[in-house]
Amino acid sequence: MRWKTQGTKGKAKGFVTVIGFDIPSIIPIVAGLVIFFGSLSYVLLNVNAKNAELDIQRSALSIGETLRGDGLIVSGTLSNKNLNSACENAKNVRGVKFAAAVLTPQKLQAFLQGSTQTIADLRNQATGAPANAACDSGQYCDVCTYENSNASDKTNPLPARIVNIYPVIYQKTGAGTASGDQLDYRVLVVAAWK
Amino acid sequence: MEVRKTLRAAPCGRLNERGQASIFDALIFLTICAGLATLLFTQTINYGKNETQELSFRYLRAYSSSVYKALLWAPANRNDPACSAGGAPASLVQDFLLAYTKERFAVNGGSMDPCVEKLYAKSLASLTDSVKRDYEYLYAVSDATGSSDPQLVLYKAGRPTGALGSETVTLSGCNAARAPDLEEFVNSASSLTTVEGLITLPPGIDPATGSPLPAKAYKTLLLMWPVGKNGVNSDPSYPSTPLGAFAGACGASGSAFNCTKSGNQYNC
Repeated sequence: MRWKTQGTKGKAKGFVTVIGFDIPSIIPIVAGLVIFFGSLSYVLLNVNAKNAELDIQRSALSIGETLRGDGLIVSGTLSNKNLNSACENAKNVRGVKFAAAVLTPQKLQAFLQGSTQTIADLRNQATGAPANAACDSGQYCDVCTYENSNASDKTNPLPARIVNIYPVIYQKTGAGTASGDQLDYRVLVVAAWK
Repeated sequence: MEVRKTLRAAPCGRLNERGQASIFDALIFLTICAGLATLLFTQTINYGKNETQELSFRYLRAYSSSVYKALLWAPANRNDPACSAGGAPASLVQDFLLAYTKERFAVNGGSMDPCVEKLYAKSLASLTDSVKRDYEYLYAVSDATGSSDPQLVLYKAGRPTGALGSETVTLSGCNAARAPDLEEFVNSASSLTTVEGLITLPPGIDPATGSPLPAKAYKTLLLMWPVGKNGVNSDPSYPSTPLGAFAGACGASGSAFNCTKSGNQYNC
């Protein structure tokens, strides 16, 4: 936009005056751009966060269904085949990690009502008291821990919504106890995070 | 005054109009940007809502499916007082619930007895204890062809009562349930998660010939729904709710099991 300015008699083209006329219109333009790009970046951040959350939920569901199998867990541990399948599923979703444990209903309540709900807490509930834990003889009861060595992953609280729980039946191997109690109720807990 | 005249006469007046026009254009641009930003925010708020709901529903379906599968493997005490004629035996003899159900079904000439009903009530209460306390459910075993009335119907209405760790759950049986009542309930209830399957049950021995009757397929159905969605109260005097209507239609002769939690399981 070039306009002839007053006093130049049509010969000189003003510079400062032209900008001077456009300055008031620049302000709303800049404000509009700031609003648009600001909201765009906010939206992108939110959409990415939501997508990540959905990825975790989808992955947790897939892992849980694989680990659960047909609902019968023998000896308190899941088979290596199921474990490997679950790990393969988790690898399909970039960056998703998970831990799973078989707990008694009482241990599950203790975990859910604890002040923190971390992977370390999950492991503690599974291994804390061998007599009540899912596994025989007090060995590791977490059936699958597909996690990296990042310590904060184990101590950061887990959002409750990515802890999925599935009721299963636990069968002890061998001759069983004196009371003949070989079958009992357990829950499979799958926690997933990024 | 001289200056004013100069301003009016000079092209400067024309410039002012142009300046106003450019400001107006800029304001239009700002309005469009604000509109787009509003649209983006609106879309962001709704983004993923449907998928989140779908995933929640998928989890509930997976949970129901787990309960259903685990029910087949659930422990059944063959020496439960309800199952032994001679009172309460001292020892616990376990079997898989489905295996024991088949045995009892055959012994009873093709019908469920109070022993099986009680064992199912105990297993259902124990399996659904973990997190889905805010859900009601109904479990039914009926002829796969739908030609006869259900063999077994158990449902839970309301939340557990009592202190944490020793909660009590009430499951109601429906001895006089008719197939149309069950179908009516399924059709009229909302937010149902349905898991269906087939099991084969041996109806026993033909009394006339003494030979085993051929095993028949039975449909097992597990329905789950949020508490209060289809009627909090199972009292037949609440016929306006689907569950109340179902409870009223199935008769008042059903058993009621008050199952209290003890350790890892419920005792009914």
